[in-house]
This record gives sequence, structure tokens and C-alpha cells, in this order.
Amino acid sequence: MIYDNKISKLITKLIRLTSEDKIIWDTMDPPNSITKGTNDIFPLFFKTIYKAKNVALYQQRYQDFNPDTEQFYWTERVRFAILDEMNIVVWENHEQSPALLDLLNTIREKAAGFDDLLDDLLDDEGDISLFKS
Amino acid sequence: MINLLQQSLLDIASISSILGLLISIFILFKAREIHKSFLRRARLPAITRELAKTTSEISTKLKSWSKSKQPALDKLAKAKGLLENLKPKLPNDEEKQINNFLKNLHPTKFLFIKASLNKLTEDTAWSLYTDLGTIVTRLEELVKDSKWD
Repeated sequence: MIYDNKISKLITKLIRLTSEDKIIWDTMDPPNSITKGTNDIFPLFFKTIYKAKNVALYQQRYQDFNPDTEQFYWTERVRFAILDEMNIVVWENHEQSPALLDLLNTIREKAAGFDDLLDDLLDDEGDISLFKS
Repeated sequence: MINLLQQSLLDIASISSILGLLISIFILFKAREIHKSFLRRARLPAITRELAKTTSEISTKLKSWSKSKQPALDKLAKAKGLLENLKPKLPNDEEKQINNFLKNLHPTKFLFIKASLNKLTEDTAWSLYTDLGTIVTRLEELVKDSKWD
């Protein structure tokens, strides 16, 4: 429980630092150590360096089995991992939490320049109202 | 001989009534548990979904705390309402965790006087968001467990 709590605190800290632009995440192709030997799909893979550690956050689409319908179905989860210098996963979080999804959304907003886009749109609105007056 | 028989019957009657009382108390507790479990199955999934959504909204609002803290405080107040509604339906461990969260949301200032939500600092609000995330994870596990109750 204490261990889980530490991970939750770390994820919250990463959300905060990302939203304040104090850490920048790079998109990259998922390393072979994650994709090899699996049919899973990784639509998004982000990596950053935090306190000299390679930290990764990625989306994983995988097939799960539903015992009620006795069929496989595609589902999705967010993974948080620590990588070594060779991009090999040395540790991976298996617990799902809403904070992980919030971190992914924060990174995506920053990567897409969502804040800048909104600021630009608001600036345009200002220009229009200035033009009208 | 008759006196001895009467005394034995009286003893048996006394022991039986004490046993009956104990069984009644046990059944009362079990009935309460079943009632809670029924309520959990009926309401827990919907409230947990709503709480997870509110938790994500809190993180979004916390990012703009420096501009205005009110939206984040409004969402924390909503989470408080949801948790208070949920509390009586939960097992003891989860109830305790929610009580701790509510205590941190309104820390006691002078013995019985509780601090207002407006007094929260940004650091405390982020810490409350972390705690709320842990609570949501536990509740999601409880929803899965309650399918087997």
C-alpha cells in the first residue's frame, strides 16, 4: 500500500511538472523490448528523463478474454515504466489508476500544443473585437 | 429429585436465552452486511464512475490553480459530496480511508472548528488529488469484487 502510494505521488508530481512545462516528453516508437513477441498495439509512446531516469508512458491495446461470451475482445490500458539506457523495461506499473490517464492526457495536450492553440484562438477573438470597434 | 429437574430446566432455559440473544446479535450484524452489500451492488458502479470523472476534472482544474483556484475547489466539493454519499455503503477499511480523506479536506483548526475549503493550498490540493486517485482505484476493485458477493 505504501509502495502504491509512492507511485501515485510520483504520477501526480509528473502531471504537475508536465503541466508547468518543467519536463518535456518526447514521442518515439516503442522499443523492441516491449513490442517483441506480442500482437499488442502501441498507438502512443512517450519518454522523458526525470531525475536521471528514463521514464515512459504508453498506451497499449491488447486482447482480453471475456468468460461470459467466451470471446476475445480488444481493450486498452495505460502503462507507466522505467527504462534503462538501452530502452529495456526494468520496471513496469501493472495497476491502473485514473491518474495515469490524466498524465497521458496532460502529455498529449502539451505535445499537441493544445494550450498554445487555445491562446491563439483567444488572441484571434481579441483581434476581431478590436477590429469591430 | 423434582427440584433438581426444575433447576436443570431453568439453567437450560437461561443458557438458551443467552445463546438466542447472541445469535440474534450475530444475525443483526449479518443482515446489516447484506444490506450494505446490496446497496453496494446497486449504487457503487455508478458513483465510482462519477467519482473517477470528477477526479480527472480536479486534475484539469488544478493545472490552472494559479489563474483561479475556485474551479478546482468546486470539483473537490463535488467529490466530497459523492464520498459522503458512498461512505455508509462501504466496508470498514474503505470507510476509514474516506474518513481520512475528508479529514484532510477540512483539517480541524481549533478542537472542533473545521477549516474551510478556501484555505487549501495548491500543494495540499494536489496531495488530495493523489489520495482521491487511490480511493477511486480501491473502489474500482470493490466494484469487481461485489460481482461475486
